[in-house]
Amino acid sequence: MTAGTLSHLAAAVRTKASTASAARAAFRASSPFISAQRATSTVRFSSSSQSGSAGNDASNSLNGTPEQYDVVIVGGGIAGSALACALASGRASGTQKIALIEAFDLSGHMQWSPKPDQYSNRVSSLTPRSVLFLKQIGVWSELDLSRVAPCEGMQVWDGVSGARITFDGADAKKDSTRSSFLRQVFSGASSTPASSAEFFDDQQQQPDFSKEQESSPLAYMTENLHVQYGLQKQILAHKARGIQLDIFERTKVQDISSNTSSGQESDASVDISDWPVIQLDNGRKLQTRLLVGADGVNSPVRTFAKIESLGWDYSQFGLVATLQIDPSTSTAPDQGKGIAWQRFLPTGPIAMLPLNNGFASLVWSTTPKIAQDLKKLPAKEFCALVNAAFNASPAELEYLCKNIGPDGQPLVDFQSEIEWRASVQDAEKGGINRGREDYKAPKVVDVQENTRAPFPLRMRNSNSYVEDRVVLVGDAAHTVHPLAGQGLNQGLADVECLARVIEQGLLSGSDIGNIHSLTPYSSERFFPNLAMLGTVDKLSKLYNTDFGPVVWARSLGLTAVDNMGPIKTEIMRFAMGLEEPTSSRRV
Amino acid sequence: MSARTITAATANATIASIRARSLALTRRPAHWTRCATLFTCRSPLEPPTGKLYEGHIPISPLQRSILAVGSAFTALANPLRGDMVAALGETTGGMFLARIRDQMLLDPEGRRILRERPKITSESMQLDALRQLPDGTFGREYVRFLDDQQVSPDTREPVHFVDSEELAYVMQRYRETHDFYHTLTGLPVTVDGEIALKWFEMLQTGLPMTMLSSFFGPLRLTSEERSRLHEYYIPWALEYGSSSKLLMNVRWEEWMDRPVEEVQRELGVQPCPQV
Amino acid sequence: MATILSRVASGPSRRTLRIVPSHIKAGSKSLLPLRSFTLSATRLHISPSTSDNSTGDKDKSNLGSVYTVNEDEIAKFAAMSDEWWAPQGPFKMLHLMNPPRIRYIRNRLTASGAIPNNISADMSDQTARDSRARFPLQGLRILDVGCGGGLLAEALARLGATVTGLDASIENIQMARIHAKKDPLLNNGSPGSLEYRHLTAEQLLEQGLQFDVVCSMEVIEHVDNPAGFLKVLGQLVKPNGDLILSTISRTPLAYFLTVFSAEHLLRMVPVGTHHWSKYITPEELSAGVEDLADCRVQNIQGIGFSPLSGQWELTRSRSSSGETDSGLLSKLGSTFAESVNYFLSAKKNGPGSP
Repeated sequence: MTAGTLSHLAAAVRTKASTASAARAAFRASSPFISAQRATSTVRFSSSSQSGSAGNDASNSLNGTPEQYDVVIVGGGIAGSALACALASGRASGTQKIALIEAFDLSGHMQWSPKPDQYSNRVSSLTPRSVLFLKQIGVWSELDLSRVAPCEGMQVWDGVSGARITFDGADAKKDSTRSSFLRQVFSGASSTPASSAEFFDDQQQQPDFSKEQESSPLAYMTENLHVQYGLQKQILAHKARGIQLDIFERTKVQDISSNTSSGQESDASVDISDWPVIQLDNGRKLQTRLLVGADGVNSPVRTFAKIESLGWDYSQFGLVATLQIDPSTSTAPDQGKGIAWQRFLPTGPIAMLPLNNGFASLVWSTTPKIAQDLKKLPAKEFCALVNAAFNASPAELEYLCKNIGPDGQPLVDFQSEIEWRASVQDAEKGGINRGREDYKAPKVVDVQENTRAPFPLRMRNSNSYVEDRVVLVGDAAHTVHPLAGQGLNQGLADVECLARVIEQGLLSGSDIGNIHSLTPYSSERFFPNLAMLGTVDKLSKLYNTDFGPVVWARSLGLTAVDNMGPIKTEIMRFAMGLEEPTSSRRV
Repeated sequence: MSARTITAATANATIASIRARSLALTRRPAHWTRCATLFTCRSPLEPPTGKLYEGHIPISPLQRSILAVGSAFTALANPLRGDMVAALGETTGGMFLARIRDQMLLDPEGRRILRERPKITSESMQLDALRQLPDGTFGREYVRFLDDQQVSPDTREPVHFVDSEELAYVMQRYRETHDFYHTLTGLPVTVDGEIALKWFEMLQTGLPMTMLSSFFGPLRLTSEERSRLHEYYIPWALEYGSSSKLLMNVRWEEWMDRPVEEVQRELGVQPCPQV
Repeated sequence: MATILSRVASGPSRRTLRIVPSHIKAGSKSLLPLRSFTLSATRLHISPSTSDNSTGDKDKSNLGSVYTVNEDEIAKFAAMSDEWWAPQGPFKMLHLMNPPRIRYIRNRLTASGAIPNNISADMSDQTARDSRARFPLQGLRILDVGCGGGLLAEALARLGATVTGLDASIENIQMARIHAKKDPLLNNGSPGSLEYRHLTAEQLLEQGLQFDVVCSMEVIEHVDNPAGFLKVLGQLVKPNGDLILSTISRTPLAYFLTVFSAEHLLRMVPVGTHHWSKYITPEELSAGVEDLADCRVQNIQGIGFSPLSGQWELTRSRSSSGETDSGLLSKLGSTFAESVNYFLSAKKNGPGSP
C-alpha cells in the first residue's frame, strides 16, 4: 500500500475523542451534488413544494421547534433510498421515525415507463451480493426482469500487448456455498451476529436462497433508474403499511448544526442539544438522533461532521452511452450473449456491458479532451471510433482522436482509415498474431441519441465513516474508479451493513447515535472498502501507461493469472461479493 | 554477389537443420513449455509462421535467439558482412519496429508512406532525371553521393526475418533511406561517419541494432578517428538526433527538387561539422 | 438445593469445599467439573463488618451491620464519575460490553420465559406486535445494583423495562440522572421508565421491594462481603424471578489480561480498577448463589474482548440453550470460555419449582 492508503488506515485506527463541535456549516444556496448516480436529465426543483408529513409537526418546525426523528437520511439516491427501505423492513428499525431528504424528484421515478428500444445511459452492474440484498428488502421482485441482463462472462485484455484474461461465471458457480477467502480476510473478523430472522418483518416474503446459489452470473446489468423505480415502489409500500417514513423530495438541505439552542422553550426535562438539526430550504427543521449522509461525493453531511476526505482526481473523464450492437459480428460463443468486454488502453479502459435486445452500455474512461470530443462526434464516426477502440492499435486510436475538429467534425475519413488498418491487421493474422484465438467484441452499429455524457473520475476515501450521531454511506464515504464496476455495490454493501448494525443497536437498547453503536459498521466496512479502492486505483495506474517494461510485466502477470484457475476463481468470487448467505448465520 | 549467395546458403542450411530437429520434437507443448509462453507469449519450439512476403524466412523464437547471438558476433568481427548486420537488426528489432510504425501512423506523411509503400530502387528514383537537377538541390546532391561512393539503391539486403509484412516494409524503408541520411547530414561513408549516423539513428528510432553499433563500433577505431567521433560527431548526433523530425516520416521522393539547406531547415537537422 | 458433600463450620482457617450444582442429574454431562477448591474463609461467610466507615458520612449513616459496600471502591468510581459517558474515556470497555450484556440478558429472559419468545404467534394486532418488537422488555421490573453512570440501566429502559438503578455513590447517581435527560426515549418515550436511587442494596431491601429481574454487573468483585451481597440480592428477586450477575474469574489468565495487560501495559482501564484477589470463580459464585441467594443456576457463559473486531463477544456456552456470537472467541473451547469475564444467570426458587 502507498503512504496515502497507509495514512488512511492509520486515521481509521486512531479514534476521534472529540464529539461533533458546535460550528455551523454554511452552505451555498445552490445545493450540494447529491448523488453520483444521478441521471443526466434532471428535474428542476421548485422550492415552494412541500411533501412529506403535514400537520402539527410541520407548523411547529416553521415556528422554530424542530421535528424529532430517529434517523434522517440526506440523499435519496440509490444508497439513501435502499437504506430507507432496509430500515423500514427491519423488525425493530421499522418502528423508528425515519426521514429521507432528496433535492430532486423521487416520486417521479414511479412514472418510469421506458420503451423496449431505449435504455438510459446510467447502467450499473450489480454483484450477486447486491442482488441478494435487494431481494431481502423486497425490491428485486418489483423489477422488470426483461430489462435486467445477466453477465455470464467477462473478457478483459490489454490494449497494448493483447494479453487477455477471461472470467466465466460457470467457474464461480462451483462450490458457491463456500465463501470467498479474500472476503473473509478483508471483512475484519466482524462479530456482529446477522440476525436476519429478526431483521425482516414476518410479513415480508422470505425468498428461498438455497436455490439462488446454483445459477449465479457474475453480475446483473440494469439501469439505475430501474433500481430507483423498484426502491421507490417499496418505499411507498412501506408507507402504506404504516411505517413512519417521511419523504422530503425536491427539498434541499440548507444548513446542519448542533449544540445550539433551538431558540424555543423546549420541554425542560429533555436535553437533546447534541442532536443535529437540519434546516431545509422550505423552512422546516428536523432534529435527529442519527444523521446519515448518503449525499454523494461532495457530502455536506461529511463536511458538517468535520470528517476529512482524501484522495485525488484522475486526469480522466468517464463517458457513458447506450449502444446498439450487432451480436452476429461477435466471434464469441452464443454470439457473445451476456459477455462484458473491457480493453485497457493507455488513455484508460473502455468497457461494453451487455444489455438485452441487442443493446449495450458503454463506459469509456479517457482524457478529458477526448471525452468532450467524443460527445460532439456525429453518430457514425462515434460508432466507428468505438469499434476501433476495441480492435485497432492504440496508435491508430490516438491518430483518430487527434483528428477531431473543435466542433466535433472528423478531419479525416474515419471509415477508410479504420478499414485500411483492419485489413493490415488481418494480414498479420498469419504472422505475429497467429495462434491467438481471441474472441472479438460485437460491432457497434448505432448509438442512442442524447445518451453520450462525460463525468469526472476521482478517488476519495473518508478518514472515518462514523462520528457522533453521524454516519456516511455510499459515495459520501468513498468514491472509486468505475473500471471494476464496484462503486454502487460497495454502497449497497454499506447500506446492508448499516441497517443490520442499526437493528442490532436497537435490539441492544443502545442509543443508535452513540458512536459505539456505529463503530461495528465502520470496522466491518472500512477496511474492505479501502482494499477495493486501493486495488482499483493501482490497476488504473498500472494500465495507464504504454512504457515497454511495464507493459511486459503486466502482460506477464495477466497471462499468468489467466492460467491459474483457482486464483482467478477467487478473484471472481471476491468481486462478486460472495459469502455465506445471511440467513445461515446464527442469531 | 556470389559470396553473398554462399553465405546466404550456409545460413539457410543451418536454419533448415535446426528446424528439422525442432519439428521432430514438436508436438502439443507440455505444461512446462506453456509456462515458457509466459515469457515470450509463444513456445520456443513452436513451428514458425507461414511465409508472409517475398523473401520471408520464418523462424521459431529459439532459432531467432541463436541467430541474433551468432550474427552479433560475426558483425562485430567483420562489419562489412552486410547480411549478418541485417540479420542482427531484424532479429532484435521486433518491438522497436512496431514503435516506429506507430509513430509513422501518427504523422500524415508517414501514414501515406505506410499506405502506398513506395520502394526506393534506381528505376523508381529515376536517377537520370535527378542528375539533371541543378546543383544544391537535394536530388542532385543525392545522386552525386551515390556516384562518388559507387553504390546504388539496389544493393540493400532484403528483409528476411521479420514476421509481419508491414514491419518488414518499415525495416526495408529504414535501410533504403540510409543514403538520404548521408545526403542530409553530409557525413562521409567512413567507419566513424557511419558510427555517427548510427548514433543519430539510435536517438531517432531506438533500434537495438543502432545501439550495438554505437557502443561497440568505436572499439575498432583508431585513436584519431575515435577522438574525432567524441569531439564532433557524437555531440552533433546528440543535439539533432532527438530534436529533429522523425526521418522515417519523410517521403524523400517528394523533396528531391528542393535545396538542401531548405530541406535541412525544415527537418530540423544541421549538417555535421566536417573536419 | 446444593449438594455440598463436605462443609465446615465458620472459622478463620482455610476450608475445603466440594461443590456440585443442584440441577445436575446423575448421568448427565457435568456442567462444572468436580474439583476441590481452597477458599478463603472470609469470602463466603457472613462475618461482622470490618469496614472502616470512619468518615461518618451522613449519606451512609443508616447502614446496618451487614455492610457490603467498600468505601475506597466507591470513592474510586466517584472520582471518575464525569467520565462515565465519554465515549473514549476510562469506561470505554464497559460501553463496548453493553450490547453483549443486553443480548445475554434478553436470551436468558427468553429462555426462562420472562419474555415471550415468538412474537408473531402471540399477537395479531400490528400495533401490539410493533410495540413488542420495539420494547421486548416491557412490563418487567428490573433492578440494576451498582448501576454506575447508568450504562446498563438506560439500555434496559429503552427496551421498555421499568428500571431502578442503584448506586452507592451520589456522583454516579447525579451523572446518570443528567445523562438520562438526554434521550427522549427515556423520558416518557417508551412503555418503561427509569429511576435512580442513591441507596445500597440493603437499604432498598428494607423498603420491602422486590423485582422481576435483578442484575448486578461487575460489582461483586468490588464489594467487601460478597456473601452478604449475594444474600441481599437473592432477597430482592421475586419468587421465580431472574438473577443475572457478571464478574471476573480468579484465574492466572484473568490476572494477565485484566490487571497486567489492561491496566499496566495497554492502559485501557485506570490502574487499580481491579483487585485480583477479590475475583470469584464461576464455581464459587454458583455455590454462593445456590446457597445464599436461594436460586437455581441456569447458565454460565463467558464473554471476551476480541482485539480483531474491537468488540466483546459471548463465548460458547455450556448450557444447551446458550447462543453465541459468530466471532473469533466463540470458537474457543469451554474451558477457556469462563476464565476471565463471565455471566451467571439464576432463577429464584419459588412455589412450583422443582
